Order: sequence, then structure tokens, then C-alpha cells
Amino acid sequence: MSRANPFPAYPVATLLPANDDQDRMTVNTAGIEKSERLLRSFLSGPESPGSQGLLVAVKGDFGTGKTHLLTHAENQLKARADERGSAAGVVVAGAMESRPVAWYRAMLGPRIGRLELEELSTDLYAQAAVTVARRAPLSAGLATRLELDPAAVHPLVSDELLSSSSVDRELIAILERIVPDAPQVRRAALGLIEAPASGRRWFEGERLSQREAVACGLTQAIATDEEAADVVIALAAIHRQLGRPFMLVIDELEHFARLDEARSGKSNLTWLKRLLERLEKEGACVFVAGHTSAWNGHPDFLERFSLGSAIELEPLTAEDVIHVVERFAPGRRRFAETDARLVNTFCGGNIRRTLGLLHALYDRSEGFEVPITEGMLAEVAATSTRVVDPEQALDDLGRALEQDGMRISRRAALHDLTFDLVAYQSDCPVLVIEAKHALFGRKQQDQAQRFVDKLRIVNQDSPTCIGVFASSGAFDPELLKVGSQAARVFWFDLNRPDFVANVMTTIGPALHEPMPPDAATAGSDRDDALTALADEIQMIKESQASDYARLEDQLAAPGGSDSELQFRSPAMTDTHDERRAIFEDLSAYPPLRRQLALISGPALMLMTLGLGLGLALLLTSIFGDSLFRETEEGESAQAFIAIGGVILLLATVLLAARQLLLLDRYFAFKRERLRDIYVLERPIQLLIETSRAIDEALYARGPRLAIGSAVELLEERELVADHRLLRREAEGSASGAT
Amino acid sequence: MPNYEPAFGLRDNPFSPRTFAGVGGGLLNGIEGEPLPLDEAPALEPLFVPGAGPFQAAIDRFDRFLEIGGYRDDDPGGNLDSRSFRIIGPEGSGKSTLANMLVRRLKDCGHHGLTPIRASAEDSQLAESIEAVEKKARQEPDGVCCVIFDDVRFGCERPLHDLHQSLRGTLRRPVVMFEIFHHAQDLGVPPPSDRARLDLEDLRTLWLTADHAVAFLISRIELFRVTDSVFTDELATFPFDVAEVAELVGESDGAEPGAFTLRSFSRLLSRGLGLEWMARRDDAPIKDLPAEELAARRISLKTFYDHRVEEQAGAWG
Repeated sequence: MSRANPFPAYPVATLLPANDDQDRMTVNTAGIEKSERLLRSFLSGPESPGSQGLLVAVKGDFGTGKTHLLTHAENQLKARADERGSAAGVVVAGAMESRPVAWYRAMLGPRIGRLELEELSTDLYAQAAVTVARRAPLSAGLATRLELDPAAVHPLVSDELLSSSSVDRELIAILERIVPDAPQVRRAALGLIEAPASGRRWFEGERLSQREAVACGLTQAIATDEEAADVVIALAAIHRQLGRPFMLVIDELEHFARLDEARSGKSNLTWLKRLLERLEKEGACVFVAGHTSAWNGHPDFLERFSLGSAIELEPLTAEDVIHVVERFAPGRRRFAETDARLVNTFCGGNIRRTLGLLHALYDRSEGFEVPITEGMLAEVAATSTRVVDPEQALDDLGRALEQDGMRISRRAALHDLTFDLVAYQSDCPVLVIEAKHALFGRKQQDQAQRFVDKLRIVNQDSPTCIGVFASSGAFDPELLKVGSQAARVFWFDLNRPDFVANVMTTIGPALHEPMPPDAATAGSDRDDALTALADEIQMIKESQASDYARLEDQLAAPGGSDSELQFRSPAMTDTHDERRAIFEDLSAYPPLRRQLALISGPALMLMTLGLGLGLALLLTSIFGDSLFRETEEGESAQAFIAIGGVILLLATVLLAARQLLLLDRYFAFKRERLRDIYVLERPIQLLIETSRAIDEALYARGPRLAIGSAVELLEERELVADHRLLRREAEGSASGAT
Repeated sequence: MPNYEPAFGLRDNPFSPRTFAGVGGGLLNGIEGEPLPLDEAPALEPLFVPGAGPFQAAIDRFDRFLEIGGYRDDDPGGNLDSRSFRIIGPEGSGKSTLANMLVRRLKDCGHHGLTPIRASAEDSQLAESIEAVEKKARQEPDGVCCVIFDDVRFGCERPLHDLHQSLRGTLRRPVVMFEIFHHAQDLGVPPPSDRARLDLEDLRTLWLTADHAVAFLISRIELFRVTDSVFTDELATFPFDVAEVAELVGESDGAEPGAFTLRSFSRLLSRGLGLEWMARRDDAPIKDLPAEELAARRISLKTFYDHRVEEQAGAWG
């Protein structure tokens, strides 16, 4: 009977929340032990946990276990904080090749959204209430109760057992003390108490509606790099105030640094340096991991880290390989040092490759019951799929594309959508790549569909951009035949040893084929387009500045309107499957009978009239011989009536066709809008509200005017992320309709 | 209907009476937690306790305005001054009651057109409110125009100032406007602009101090004490102990955030007395008890407070 293979088929660590399974298999390497020592010292500060900050730099090549170390450190901090009775706040995010504020919106904000923000604000509010309660002997006893059960603060204040004004005032005093330089963040923290849904969305980096923003006294969204840093610092300060440890974990620093390299500047790393300095002062623990090359280029950056806290991950030794085998497959005494040396030589000390190879060898050696042989290794190398290292594969592919004259961005964002790799020619995106792993075909199909959806959004502005979806695990080209419609997508098996060569050969002709005339014009007019874009950005900035000034003038911090649409956070309850099912449901084309029922009143009346009259004339001319005299005039009149009837019937058919065409355009528009929301992983509630608004426009204005009316409704209800795009599409659609 | 006389020597619950001479029942519903509608029901004035906050100082300043502004002149045709009063203070500290009291005094001057126009200045409806006020003001051909804006937020001063100027300019009528500022903005109040300052006066209400609490308690108990009950000075506030109340409410000077406001204190006393009546309604009447035993039967404010907390604890589970 064959044993179940204990080694992972896909040995890539991920920064997923609560990745306990991954952590359970941790092997105590020198790096892991050092991280544990540092965390112990961090949590045993003289005053309180995190009284002194800790900045840890993690360096290593691909596959040396950096991400695994980060998740292990995260779990260690959480577990040790739990033992001390305080919940740690941990924010974990991979870096991106983008400006800090864009990184915040795409990665950091959603991860911050996973913190218990409402609980955090309630605890802070309770702390303010404790101070107020102690001011009067009558309420002094309440302080102890509140310390034991902070959630009690809300009923106590609402029942006026404490003055709400006093507690508010005390809370503001605390926030002014711990977050002195960021009034917007202070207001957002207050917003978590007064209008929790809006406050949370602001922290998550989402854009609030104008009404929500005014109600909370906030700007509509985090707009600058400084503001993004302020939010992180404020969170660290709030955790410190509550005696909770705060940890920020950043992986893949090299992506963040690469933007600086592309721009020959230092703004990203300077921003990060300042952030780290401020976080250390706030007693936070920060782990930053990156490829050795990212650190080597920036020695001054490395100096910012706590003395002696750099962890350099070395390639595995043969002894480490034995520890790995003991951890994953305990009791395999026959796996000897010679086997370990063979494996280690074959893999060059790379943990990912080692695990992958052990997975392959386990089956060939009857669970390591027979010694490993050179023959087995040769067989693995020749026949099995290679040990997947998607990062390495994407880096190799990036290099190949660079040699082909393209500029490469790893983890770049286009239209707020992140891709693993984006290739540019003349600053226009020409290729987007996503590498995914899936164990099941259905998941792979889902991933592929989402990729196509994202590509179609990119194609709205960059129609020549092609997509490469690389899948490992359950690669099945048949399953990948998802509806790509107009988008040009290529599917590849990431497991294949010739992955890079295969991609380059396949997409080469598509990449180098001449641009369509429209795109070429756009390219030749690039300077004009850039100028227009710069103007547009300037207008947006000015508009934001005026909004900000106006809000500054209004000192309001009123309670949110109950009627305001409160969206659920996507991280809280909406799952991808739910979102997709609802998207498909809402954007499905209705059957013909339903479409006919949607034709507007006047058109329907005309059609009925045309049909009735046409049939009447036709039937009269055919069966009403007695009505016409048998003269030449009589026959002409009969023929004339018959022709009139046919013309009326034809006109009716044409009118019906036109109405159906308009409806078709309307449904395409609706599907596009819903797809934008679905692809951006916005909450389901937003999908439903948008669908409802677009339908309202159809019912109110009919198919001909529905799109224009829907645009107005969506803008009025603040249901669109990109007004300019929407307006442009609507204009295009209107001209088409004309 | 509960009879408080046998247990406490009181005609009714002094903090939430169900009846009051000359006042309709509807106006008394929830009176322990609502502003006193003194402008509508002048008979309620005895329930207003000037010493339960800095109310007397505010009334004196308003009276001075009435004097200087010509409202108390004998000549009914004389020119009258216009003024806006910002009433600023914590939630539940008596801002609306004070506004009603000032409107009452304005009405007592006997001028025409003194039905106050009430509006909410919540940010989302400020423009609509201003429009409605202007419309209503135009419907009254002459007399003093009195406007009460509730829930005003700092930042809304300019539109309200403009409204004030507009009413004066277009209606050619004296305008007295009360702007009751929402508590949240009292947390860091910016000064009004110089332009608005010219005809603007600030009146403040405060957190409850021990003196305010004692004054409120004494005044209300005296008002409802059954006249033939015999209590010594020491037991004048029976069933409450003035010394205990002063000690428990705290040492806040009212300018700093305290734990209580007039409203929360009034609610506490009202609910507490009601509960205590439930427990004692079948006891022997206190009028037959000697003074020493009465002193022993005083009830503790702390007990009431803890009881309320326990009630809430039930709600938290």
C-alpha cells in the first residue's frame, strides 16, 4: 500500500492570513531561530510589549524561505501576544512596483481591513470612558467593569450613565496626543465609532461617496503617500496606547525598489525609510523581506534597521535537508546523510526545489525506504515536471522580454488591477502576465475567467495589450477555454521546463505584429494624450484640494445618515464565488420574450399599430375582392393597399429590430459596468445597487435613452469608480445609437 | 397611578411628574430626558432650575439684550435690535431648555410675530432648512422674527449668519436667532468669523457640578414636597441625602468634562425614585415615623446608579 506523500506538491509559501498549516512544518533553521529570539526580546520590553520598536531586515535569494520566515514570525507574535492576554495587530503585505499610495490602496489597505478595526476603536473609546468614569466617585466603579468588558461602553454611553460629550472629548484628547500630526486619520478613527462602515472603508483605501465623506468629516479617499504613511503610524500608535503589539510585515521589497530604479530616483525607499523610523518610535515590530539584490543596492536603507537584527537566509545544508525530512516524514531512518547530500547538491540549497524534489523522490523510493540514487535524480530531472518556482519563472520571463526591448514591471497595477508582470513598449502596456496555482480545475477556470475580465478592462485603454495566463497544478488547456471574447489571451503550463521559451515563441508574433490603425494614431498622439492626462490629473488634484479645503472649513463630525448606502467590506463576508454568481446572474441577457416586454411604451404602441394596420391592409387586399371594382383603377387601388400593408409590416419589423438592438447595447453596457465592479472585487452590495440603478434608467427612459440616463444615475449615486471612463463609453455608445 | 406621598412625602416623582398644574399631559411625557417646552407651556417654569447650570448668567445676559435692544420699552413702534445667540454645550446639559426659556422671556415682552420658527441645521438638510425658514418668515407680515436652529455644526455659521442678514434686510424686521450647537463640535470650537461676531453672542452650558446637582435636587424636591409633611432641615431632600449627592457627583468645575450632565442626572433620579417606589409602596407611611428612622430610610444615589448599570449589564449579557 502506498503511503500518502507528506511533501507539498507546490512548495511556495504564501502570505495568507492564519497560514497555520504552513507554519506547522517550519524547520528550525538559523534564520527562524534568530527571528524567534528577536520577537522574544521585542515582547519582553521593560514597560510593555513593544515599548521599543524592532525593525528586522530579511535577506535571501529566491527559494531561501523568506516568505515562510515572515509567516512564521507573524504566527509567533500572535501566539505570544495571546499568551500575554493581548491581541496583536498584524498587517502583512507583499510590495508592488508602484507609488506608496497606490500600494496602500491595492495591498496594504485591504490587509489593514482584516484588522479588528471596530474592536480597536471600541477599546480606545472604552479607555476614554474609563478616564471619564474615574472623574466622579459615583461612576468610579464603572471603570473596572469597562476595563473587563470594553464593549459595554456603547450601551453605557447611549444610556447616559456617562456623558457622551465627555467620552467623545476624552477620546479626541487621546487621539490628539497619540496621533498629533494627522487630523484626517484622527477623524477616520472617530468615524469608526460614529459610522463604522464608512470609517472602515476609508482605512481600507476605498473611495467614499461625497455624502459619506462629508458625514465623517473626511476626504473621500487616502490621496497622498504621506497620508498612507500616517494611517500606518496611527494604527501603530493606537495599538501602543491599548498595550497591544503591532507588526507590519512587508515581503518582496525588490518590487518596491524597482520603481525607484526605473525612475532613477529614491522616493519609494525614502518613503519607506521614514515610515520605518516613525514605526520604530511607535514601538512597532516591522519585518521587511527582499531578494539580496534589493538590499545590496541600498546600504543606507539597511542601516535603518535595528542593530544586529538583519536575518540573512543561507542556502540549506545537507543537515538541514535531514531536518526537513524528519519534520515532514518523521521516522524515515533510511534517509541518510548521503541521500541528503545528493538532494542538496541537486537543488543548490534552495528550499522550494528541495521540497519539490523530495515530493518527487518520495514516490520513487517507496517513502525513502530505499536509498536515493543518481538514476532517480536523473529520472526526476528528465521526466517529471520541474519543481515550480513561479517567481523565478516570471523573473526569467521578464529578463527575456527585456532582451526583446520591453520595459518590465513586476507586481504592477493597471486601472487599480494588479498583475504579476506587465511589459511596456514605448510606455504603453503590451503584455500582462499572471501566474496562478490551482489544485482543482474549477478553481483554475475561475482564476482564468478573472484574468480575462481584468485584461478586458486593460484593453479599454490599451487595446493591443495581450494576456498570458500561466497556470500550475491542475493545468488543463481544455478547462482554460473560458470566454475571452475580444481579448487576446494565451494559456501556458507553468510546470513545463521550457515555459519561458514556449511563451516567447508563442506570443512573439502577436507582440510584434503592427498596431491597429486606431492604436497607431493613439501612439503618434502620445504627447497630446499625455498632456491631456496631466491636465486631467491636475484638475482632479485641484478638485480634491477644494473638497479638502471645504471640509476643513466644516468642522463637522456628524453621525452618518442612516439612509446612506453602507457597503460591506469584501474581506468580511463576500466570497469570490458569491460575487461571481451574483455578477453572472445580474448581467445575464434575458430571453427574447422578456426583452420584448422591455420595449418602451411609444415604440410598442407604434409596433402594435403598424402590425395591426399592415395586416388589415394586406388581408383587405387579398380577401376583399368584392370591395374593389373590376376596373383598372380598382385593381390599382387593391395593389396600392397591398403594398402599403407590406411596407407597414416591414417598418414594424424594422422598428422591433431596432428596439432589440438598443436593448442589446443596453445589456452590453450593463454587463460592462457590473464587470468593472466584479473584477475590482467590490462588495456584492455595490453590484446589486449598480444593477438596480441601470435597470431604473431603462424602465424610466426606455432603451434609446437608457444608457445616458443610467450614467447620470450612477454618477448621482456615486456608484462608479471612474467617471471619465464611464462618460467616454457612454458618449461612444450614444454616437453609435445615433 | 403611583402615589409617592406615603413612601416619600412627595406629590409626584419630581423628576418625571405625570401631572402639573396648567400643563397638558402630552407635554410631560419623558420630561426627565427632554427639554422643558417653556415657550409653549409657561406653567412649567417652576420646573426650570436656574442654579442647575450656568443658566442664570445666560438669562441675565439675554435680559440685558432685551433691555438695551428696546424690547422692554413702552413704545411699541420703536426700533428693535437683532441678535444671534449661539448656545454651546455638551449633549444633555440644558441647551434647548435654555433656548426655550429665552424665547419665553422674549415673548413676555409682548411684541407681535413671536411664534418661533424651529429648524434643524443638520448638514445634509441645512439648505432646505434655511429655505423653509425664509418661507415661513415671509408668511408673517410684521413683528419680531424668532428662529431656533437646532443641531447646528461648526462650519455652518456663515450660512446662518447670511440668513440672519437676509431676514433683517428683506423683511425689515428684527430678528432674534438661537443657534443650538451640536455637542460634538464643542470639542475644539473655532472662533466665529469677525463678520459674524458683530451681532453674535455666545451662551454656554456645562457639565454637571456638585453644586448644580444639589441645586437641582433641592429645587425639585421642594416643589413636590407635600406641605403637611414634617421634615427637619437635615431631611429636607428626603429620600435623598444632599451631602452624598454632592460627594458622588464629583469635583468637576463644569468647564472640564465631567461624567454627568443635567439630563443624565435627571434621568438617574427619576428612574431610581420610580424603582424605589415599587419596592416601598406597601410599606407603612413615613409620616408616622420618627426622624431617626427616616434618616435611616434615606436611599443612596449610588444604589440607583449601580442599578442602572446592572440593567445595562443585562443588556450586554
